[in-house]
Amino acid sequence: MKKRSLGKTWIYLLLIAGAVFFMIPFFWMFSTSLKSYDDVFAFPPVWWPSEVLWSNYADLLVELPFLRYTLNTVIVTGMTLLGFMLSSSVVAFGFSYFRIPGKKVLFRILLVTLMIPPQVTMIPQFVLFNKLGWVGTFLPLIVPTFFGGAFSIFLLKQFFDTVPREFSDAAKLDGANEWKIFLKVYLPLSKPALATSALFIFIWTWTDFLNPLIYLNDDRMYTLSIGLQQLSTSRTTAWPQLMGGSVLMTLPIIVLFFLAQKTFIQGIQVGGIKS
Amino acid sequence: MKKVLAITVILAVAMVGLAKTELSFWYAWGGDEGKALLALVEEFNASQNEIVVRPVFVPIGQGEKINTALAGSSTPDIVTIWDWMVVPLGESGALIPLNDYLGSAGIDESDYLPGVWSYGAYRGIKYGLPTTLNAYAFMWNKALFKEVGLDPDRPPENIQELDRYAELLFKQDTRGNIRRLGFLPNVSHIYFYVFGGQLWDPETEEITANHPGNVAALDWVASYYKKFDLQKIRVFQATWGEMASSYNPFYRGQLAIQEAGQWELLFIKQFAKSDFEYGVSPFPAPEGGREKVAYLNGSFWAIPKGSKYPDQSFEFLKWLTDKDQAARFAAELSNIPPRVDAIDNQAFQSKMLPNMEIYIDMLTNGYVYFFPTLPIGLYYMEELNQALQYVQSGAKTAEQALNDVQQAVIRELGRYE
Repeated sequence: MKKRSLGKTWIYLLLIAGAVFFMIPFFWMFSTSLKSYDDVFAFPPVWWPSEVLWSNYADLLVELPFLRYTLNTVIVTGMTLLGFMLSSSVVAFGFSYFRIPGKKVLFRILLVTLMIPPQVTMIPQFVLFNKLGWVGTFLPLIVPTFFGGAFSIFLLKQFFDTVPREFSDAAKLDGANEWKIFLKVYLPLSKPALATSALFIFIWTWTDFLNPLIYLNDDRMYTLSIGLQQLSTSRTTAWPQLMGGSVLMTLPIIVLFFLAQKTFIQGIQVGGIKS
Repeated sequence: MKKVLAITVILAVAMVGLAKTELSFWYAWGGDEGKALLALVEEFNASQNEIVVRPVFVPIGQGEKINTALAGSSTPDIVTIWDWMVVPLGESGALIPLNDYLGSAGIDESDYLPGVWSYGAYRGIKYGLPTTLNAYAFMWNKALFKEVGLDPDRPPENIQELDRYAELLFKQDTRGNIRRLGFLPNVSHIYFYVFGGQLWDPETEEITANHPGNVAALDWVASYYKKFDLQKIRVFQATWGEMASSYNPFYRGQLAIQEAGQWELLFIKQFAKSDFEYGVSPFPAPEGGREKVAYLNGSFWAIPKGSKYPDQSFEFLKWLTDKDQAARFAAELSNIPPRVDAIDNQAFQSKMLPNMEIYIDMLTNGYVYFFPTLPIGLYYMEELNQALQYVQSGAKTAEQALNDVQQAVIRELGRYE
């Protein structure tokens, strides 16, 4: 009995050590956001500034249209999430559920698209969106997401494959069509996979620099990742303010993770049928 | 009724908008530098009724956005780009040559600092106008000179003396860790020119990577990394603080002599202790070498081929690079304006930091060079860095390494022509 609890203590100690280790970068970012410019580079490092400068955050609001950038980022990320989740889950269901000839080949082609480096398609894609007259709007960032994302399709399809066939057969006997099976059987069972996929998409889009940079031509439409660049002059960077911006930019990701944590961990195995 | 009113207002705004030519101007300066530029743009917009310049902040980076936009023919009217990007973009047909515009505006070589006219040009075609310039000089810490018994007001007269100073100023602890570096050549091609060599022959328009002066200079540069041990230097450099802070190794006494851009004058004023004493001079040269070598770099303004209003765009650039504006912008950035009349301008002179006159003198009376703006400039630069590494590690002699660079660069340039 004693031995077991001792073992647990070690595990907790290890976990706490791990957690602290992973929290150091965030802590450093936060403490830097409250430092004076020169304290940022102090050696030995200043872990916590003697004089806490909350005014760095105020600078951010004065120097930049920070709220506008946040709103733009929320719009782009929100629409991207919606687009990817809607389209990818439907496509993944199709790949997983239906028995159609050629399905395997199509799926392989889909996977191959994951291996093409984005730099290769960047310019042709830009030319395409330019011809459509979409450059300088949010459309090139949002519309493609409604046509599915290979990564989330792959992730969801693998998860859907683990849903026992008996579930859908039972639903079919009760008179459900494929659409209903998708909505009432597959989706509710796949919350962890959906949440994981959504989290990845959120992080990629929220922090994306290259796509907004290429497609947006008006600083009033900029997202946070580009907007924050304006804190740098040709030789210096306002690090405390930049870190303040980064704290605010990272906060939603952390909050989201805590909120969705349960979903990630719950139901890794899909139960329900007694064999 | 409200609707009618709203439509009328929209129409009125649209009419006013139509009457003026709107130029999209991609600029790349953040912070106070950005504000200074925006103030100039506003002034231009208010100064006349024909053109409205709409500035958009676009970080240059490695040209991700600019290259994509130019390739996808969705271009602004004016772009801001690095010096090494000008000719490659221009030669690929993405930028408008400015020779005719400059000619009809009566702007010529004599308006610019000596040597600057060919900067950003290739085979006589000018693809951009320099925004502001950075220049490099020789800078030393006077207190450390005194400490080792050197005259703090006298820089080394030649390369031999510099070598001696560097050894005198060098300090290590009992375990052999470096505590202070006397001097370390950093931008090697500066010494190519100091030793009488050159990267490119402007007369014959040929690559001269293996010029005997370059070979001697590369040997000399590599000798520092051998003498003070590359590994130990890297370990020591890892303890250096951020340049733009009071932890800068130069005013912390970790590096006694350095190659310093003119922005260091501003940094010293901002970050160094008030009693910090330093001297600035041109680089010491060996016998038969070049005196007062000034290395320049900077960014450019250019007009993309896709611009709908190239005439108006040039009109704006002409205004922006004219003496008053160039002087004010350079003063704000602690850079050097590329035009002679801008340097003499009160707006620049009144804000000039101490010792800036030494840089100006090097630029006006010395030997000015910039990294040749070739269609393959970046490739050339990377090859040279590689060569230095070969020589440092002893894999090649300086002559071998530079002969190889010469061949590689000529081959690469041949693919363009």
